[in-house]
This record gives sequence, C-alpha cells and structure tokens, in this order.
Amino acid sequence: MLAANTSQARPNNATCPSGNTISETFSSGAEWDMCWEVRDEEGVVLSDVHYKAAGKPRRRVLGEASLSQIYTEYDDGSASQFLVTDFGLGGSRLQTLNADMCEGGQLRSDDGRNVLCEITSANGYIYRYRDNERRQGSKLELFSASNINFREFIIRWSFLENGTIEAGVGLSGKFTKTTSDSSAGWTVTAQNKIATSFTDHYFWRLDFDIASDNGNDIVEQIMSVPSSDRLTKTRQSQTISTELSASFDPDGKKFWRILDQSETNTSNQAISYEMVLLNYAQQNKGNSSYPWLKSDVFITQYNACERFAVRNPASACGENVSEFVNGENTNATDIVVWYRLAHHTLPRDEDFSPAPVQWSNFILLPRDWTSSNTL
Amino acid sequence: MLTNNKNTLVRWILSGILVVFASPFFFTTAEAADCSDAFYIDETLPNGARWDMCWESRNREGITFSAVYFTPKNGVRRMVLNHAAVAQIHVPYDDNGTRFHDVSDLGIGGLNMLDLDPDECPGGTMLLLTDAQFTNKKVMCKQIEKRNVGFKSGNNTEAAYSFSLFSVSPVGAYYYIPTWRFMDDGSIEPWMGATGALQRFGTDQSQGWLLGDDRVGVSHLHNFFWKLDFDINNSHLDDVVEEVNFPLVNGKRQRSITAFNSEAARKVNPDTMRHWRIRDKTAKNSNNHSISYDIVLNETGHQDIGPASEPFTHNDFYVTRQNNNEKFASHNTSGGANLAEFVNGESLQNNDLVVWAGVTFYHMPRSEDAPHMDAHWSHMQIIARDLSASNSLGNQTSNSAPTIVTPSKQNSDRNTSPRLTIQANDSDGDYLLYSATGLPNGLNIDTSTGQISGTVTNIGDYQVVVSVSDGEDSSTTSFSWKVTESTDTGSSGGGGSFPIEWLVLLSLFTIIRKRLYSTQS
Repeated sequence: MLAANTSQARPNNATCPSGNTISETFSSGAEWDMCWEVRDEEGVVLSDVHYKAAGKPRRRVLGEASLSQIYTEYDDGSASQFLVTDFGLGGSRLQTLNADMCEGGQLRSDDGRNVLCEITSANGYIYRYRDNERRQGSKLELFSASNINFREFIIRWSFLENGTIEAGVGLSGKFTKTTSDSSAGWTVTAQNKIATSFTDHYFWRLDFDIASDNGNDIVEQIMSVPSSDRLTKTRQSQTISTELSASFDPDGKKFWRILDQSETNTSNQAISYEMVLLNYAQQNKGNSSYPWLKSDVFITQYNACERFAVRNPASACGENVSEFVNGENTNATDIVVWYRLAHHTLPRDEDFSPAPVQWSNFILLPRDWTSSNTL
Repeated sequence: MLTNNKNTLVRWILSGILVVFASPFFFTTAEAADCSDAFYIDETLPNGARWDMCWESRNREGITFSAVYFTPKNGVRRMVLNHAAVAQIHVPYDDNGTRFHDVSDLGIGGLNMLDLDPDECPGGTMLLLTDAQFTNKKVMCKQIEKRNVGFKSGNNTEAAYSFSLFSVSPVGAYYYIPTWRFMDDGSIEPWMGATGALQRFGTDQSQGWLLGDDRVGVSHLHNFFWKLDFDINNSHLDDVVEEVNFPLVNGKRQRSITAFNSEAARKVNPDTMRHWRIRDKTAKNSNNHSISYDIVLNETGHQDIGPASEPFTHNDFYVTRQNNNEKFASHNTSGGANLAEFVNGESLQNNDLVVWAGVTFYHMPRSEDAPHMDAHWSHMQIIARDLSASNSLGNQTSNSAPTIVTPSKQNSDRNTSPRLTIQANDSDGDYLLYSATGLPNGLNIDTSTGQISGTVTNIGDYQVVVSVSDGEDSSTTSFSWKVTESTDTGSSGGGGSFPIEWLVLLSLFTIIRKRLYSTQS
C-alpha cells in the first residue's frame, strides 16, 4: 500500500499559542473548544475544533478550517481578483473591532489589536416536542472582518449547542465599481451611476480530523436515487477511496460525510460530520473555463502545501484545487474538503452606502456523533 | 403604554383612511385587510424602521398576514403584501409509504396550533388569539432581534434590527415552527422550522438510516410552499413580475429582464443565477427607480422534482392571478387541484398577481433525531430593491469626504529608510484607502495604513501626491521630498555613529530650506 505509506497528515500534536484558545461550556454540559490564529492571507484560521456532546466524550471535528480563497468576477468582464492571495484577509486589512460591534461578547486581540469577536447568545428552540418536552439552546459565535477595496467581508463561525456548525461570509462595505455597460450592473443612487454586479466565489478549506487519530478518516458519498416513476428513492452509500471533484446534484440528493474509521458512538456506529449544502440558486460555474470553478466540492488527501484553493504558490503542489485532485488515496487518511460557494450581488439603492450585510452560509452537521439526542 | 396604544389606534385609523382613499379597489380583493386592535401588529424597530400588518388564525394555514406595510426610517409607508400565508408542507417519504400534505389535509392552525408557554418566547411578547374557538390562546411569539453589525465599512457601522413572529404547530410527530422575519431594510424572510420526532420508521435501510436505537428512520422530503399576494404600494392591478437572468455571453454577464405576461411556472437556474422580481409599474423612490422586491430561492440544493402525479413539485416559482379558491399549493379543494393547474394561461397584465415559492429540505434521519429531533430550518428571501433611495439604517444622510493632512516637506539621504505616515480622518468612520504618486524611487505606500516606507535609492527633488478615499469621496494633497547624497561618509552606516555635529548642521540646513521653501510658496 504505497499510497498509505506516502500519505500525509496534519501534525497531530499542534499546540495552541497561549491566549489563543476559545472554549464554551453550555448549561447542558455540551462544550466547544478550539484554537485561533491570524495569517496575512486567510485572516482568522481555526484549528483543533472539538465538540463534546452533553455527557459524552470530547472529540475533535476539524484539524483546521479557513477561507482559503475569494475569487471575485465582475459581470462586465473586468479584471477578476483573488482576494486572499492578492490582498489578504489578515494584516492591515483585518479590521479592528470595537465594543459596539461585539456587544454582549468578548473582543480577542492579535498583535495588540481587537480583531475577533467571541459571543455566546440564545439561539431559540433546539427542539419542541409533545407533553411540553422542549429545550432552548445557545451558540458560540466568532467573527472577524476584512476590508478589501472598500468591500468588507465578515467571516463568521457559529458553533451550536447541539454540535451543528454554521459558517459563512457576510458581505458589506461599499460597492465602488461602476460600469458603462447597463446590462452588467444596476442603476443606483440619485446620480444614476451603474454599479457593477459581481460574483464572489468563496472557497472554504475544511481539514477534517475526526476524533483522536487524524490519519484514519473516511469519506462516504450518500445519494438517494429516484425510481423511474419518481415515487421512491433508494439510498446508495459508497466510500470515496480516491480524490474527487463533484458538483451539486439535487436530483440525487448527493452529500458527503466524513467519518472516523475506528471511533464509534455507544451504538457502535461510526461517528461523522456531514456537509449540508443548500445554497444552490447562484452556484454558477464562473465566467471563464477554469477547472476549479467547474466543481462545487473537492475532496483531497491532506498535503501541507495545498493551502489556497486557487493561486496556491508552493512549487511542490498544484496551483489550484483541481490539480490537488490527482488520484491520491482518500480512504483512511487525513481528509481535506474544499467547498466553493458562489454568491452573486446585483447592487440596489439600499446598498448605498455601506451595504447591509448579505450572508452566504453552509452547515456541518453531526451524524451519529452520539447514539441518540443528548439534549 | 396607554399613549402607545392610543398612537397605535390613531395610526391604524389613519392608515385605514389612507387605504380607502389611496385605492378605491382595495376592498374588492378577497383578502382585504380589516382588523381589530387584537389582530393588528405595529412595530417600530429601535432604528426607526416600521412594519404594520394584520394577522388572523385559520384552521388550515395557521397564522396568515394581510395588509403588510413597511415604512423606512423617515420614509413613506407603503403596502408590500396584501396577503401572505404558508401554502403547503408536502412530505413524501422515500418508501412511498405516505405522502403528506400537512397544511391542506391536516392543518397547522386551530387545534393544531400550540398555546405557547412564556418560556418559549424569551425576551419577546405573546400575541393572544380570541375567537369563536379560543380565549386568550398564546398562539404567536413576537421577538425583536438585533444584529450587532448590520452594515460595516471600517468603523462606519450600525446594528440591524428585525422582528420575528412564530407559532408552533404539531402535525403528527412533527412540530412545525412557521416564522416570519421582517427586516429593517424592508425585506421579509419566511422561515420554517421542523422539529418534534421522526414520524415513520421502516425496515429497509436503503430507504432510510439505521438509528442508534436499531430502528430505521425513513428518509423524506419537506417541500415548503408560501403564497405571497404582492400589492406593492397598495394598487393591486399595476404590479409586474419579472424574471432576471445573468447569462454568460463572451465572458461577460448580460443581465436580461423578462416580464411575465401570463401565468408561469419556473425553476431556479444556477448557470444564470436566476431570481424573480415584483415591481410596481408606477411607484418610484426618490431616485426615480421603480420600487420592487426580489424573490431569491437560494436554498434549492435539495430541490426535488417529484412524480408526474405531483406536478406542483416540478417548479420552484409560480406566478398566478389572484383567485380566492387557490389557497394550497397541492390538495386544493375548490378550483384547481394544485399549482400546476393554477398556471393555466391567464393574463397577468393589469391583474392582481400572486407569487408562490417553495424550497425543499431533504431529511435523511440520523441517530441524533431520536427520541426527539432538533429543529432543521428552511427559508426564502423577499428582498427590498429600490424601495428606499439609499441605506436608511444609519444616522448619516450623505457621505462625508475624508480629510487629509498635508505633510511637511521631507528630506532624506540616499540609502536611508525614512518612514512617514499620512494622516487622514473620516467623520463617518469609513475604511480608508491611501495611494501615492511621485514617491522617491524605492518608497511605497501601504494602502491600508497610509505609511510610506522603503529605502530611497535615487537623489532628486520629488513632488509627491497622496490621496485618501472612502470609496465614494477622496481628498488629495501634495508635498515635496528631497533626496540628497548621504551625508554619512563613514563606513559604519549605523545611526549610532552619526556625529552630533552633523545632526545639528543638518537640522539647521533643514530649517533654512523650509523657510526658503515657504517664502517661495
């Protein structure tokens, strides 16, 4: 098994710099803990993200998670941009947050500046059931903001009491680009300027490290295939044993989960997290024929030099995520999932100025993490 | 409190009068608003945006809304929706064991709507239902929601507010939480939570998931539908529904807008990023732009085209002519049977338009779903477009230009590394970007901080122009920068060995130069 011998994994003994740990224990006993750091390119990067279900063992979910590229295309065909590598979400573009922006929470500093807001808040029903069986829940939320050419990107992670992770980018700031092509924008403001419409492709890099061994994760693709009369569906689960690029498939309800090869819940089921990818209506494949825009999800074996989804600089690695998918083993190894989320903005009068935040989110959901509902 | 109630009453009476005068046809639409105080909601959010509407409780649809008005802060009160309701929750199971039509067949109102406990409405207020069936039943929770960062451009930021209204309706083992979120920019988000417990268990793992308790939870869909009778700016006969596409043409997006002249059934299309827009043909904002709403159905990743017998699942978006008999997306009892039949070629021109939209959640059970199931949520977006002429949430009415401080004349020795930070200020707190031209060779400006640094390499007199921009307005100034041959001829090159006499001479020289320069200018 040459592939197994040569496979790489994120160092399993990473230590968090002092002062950079974040942890939250909810009233139910459920806990989240993780480490954060700031990089010039990706901005805030989370690592060693652990979830402890109420009354259950603490287990790792993610080894590392980051926004690994933002590719912006303008509808008028003007020069597109790679914001993470060309400008960077960190450094001086990472915004200093003030207390109002983090009301009810705690500001965390990096290099002497408050750049991360950590806030725990009520999150409504966890569940409601008969005989007044009900529970309200809380969530831990982390966000930072980066301003690039007047557009501001708010990068937010929410960790829910029940193990759900919601991550997303909120776009605000000022949409300064204008065009003479009226079909490539929208007429706004009293001056009737044409604000250029644009698409941001957010590329998330999710290095799953389920449970203690980060080198034995398995990817399962699950589909529910409709019968010819479309009255029934049949589930088809398969292990993805080599690197894969794939696209949304509403018809087949395709999704992926990352499970641990050895650790189980008390019913002897493999513990896993699944990707709930609902944002579909704007998931276009780009204005150009770039292969890294042609798929929505890329599953690769961990490679330390595969850092940015596009414009990856390391010479030993591919230049982009479509090149990272090159036939390596993904069965019982360290798995990295790359997810592209496209968001189109057609400016409107209400966006001037600054624009109210527009969110683009996705969900990671525990599946059989515990053998029953623990809350 | 008394004053508030009086104000509310007065506003309501006034609005009623306004409605009557503004639209003589208003009461001819079937679902016209006419509500008593107990069924009137009038909420002014902390930042001044206001929503008001009537609600009622129906046995099938549960809570529905009518005469929904939005008033931007300091803006004009306008009707958005004449009527809004949940139109169906269709739940087919993967084994075809059953295909529920929960709203039409079982109902999410009446006895199927909970009398909520106050602890289910933290920080909110309860709306009470008293009718022929119930007395002071706590059917709906109203909560004001604050988001710390509603918009942000550096320190130019404001919180955003919305208020949400939800009820809870058990249908079998499921508990649905229909929620309507009214935003301070005029947008509306209908949400649906689904919680309770799994309804059906089977034996075939290929049509479900083996749970930790050894039961197989059967996989199923929730097709959620909403019915939205838009009457933008009251007049119900002058709205138009458009489809907006952004097809790719020679590497550019070429937006196309197509108005529907007759009833239509349409699907999302990621390649063209399709959405729909409801526009009033006459009403404009103060920029003279048509006021309108976008219908955005992002959560279509689980979109499901069902069997031929369920043609209402074959599309995501429908526009029809208002018809009182068309209430439910499927299992409609009088008139057409479902959405596909409602779309039967009727003209939409100068008619009262109704939009039906749906999103789907595919639920493959997991062990965490037993013995009870955490809520999963679905929603669609109804986004205000050009309803207001500008962002009305902040306190500023127009942008203030940044100001820039002109630096004094600079002198540097060749091969030294001077640092100069351009000082600028913006009263709005906007994020500022700096730029410079004409810098001595080897120097660069950090566009985010305004700091000029580097190592000067060429002697000469440079005229530097620096600008600062907040994205809308900018300020520019200029100063001169003289680079001379290094006066330090020693080999050490370090500042520490710089003879003090030289420094004194140099500063004298600088002062003289400055005086000369200032008398010249």
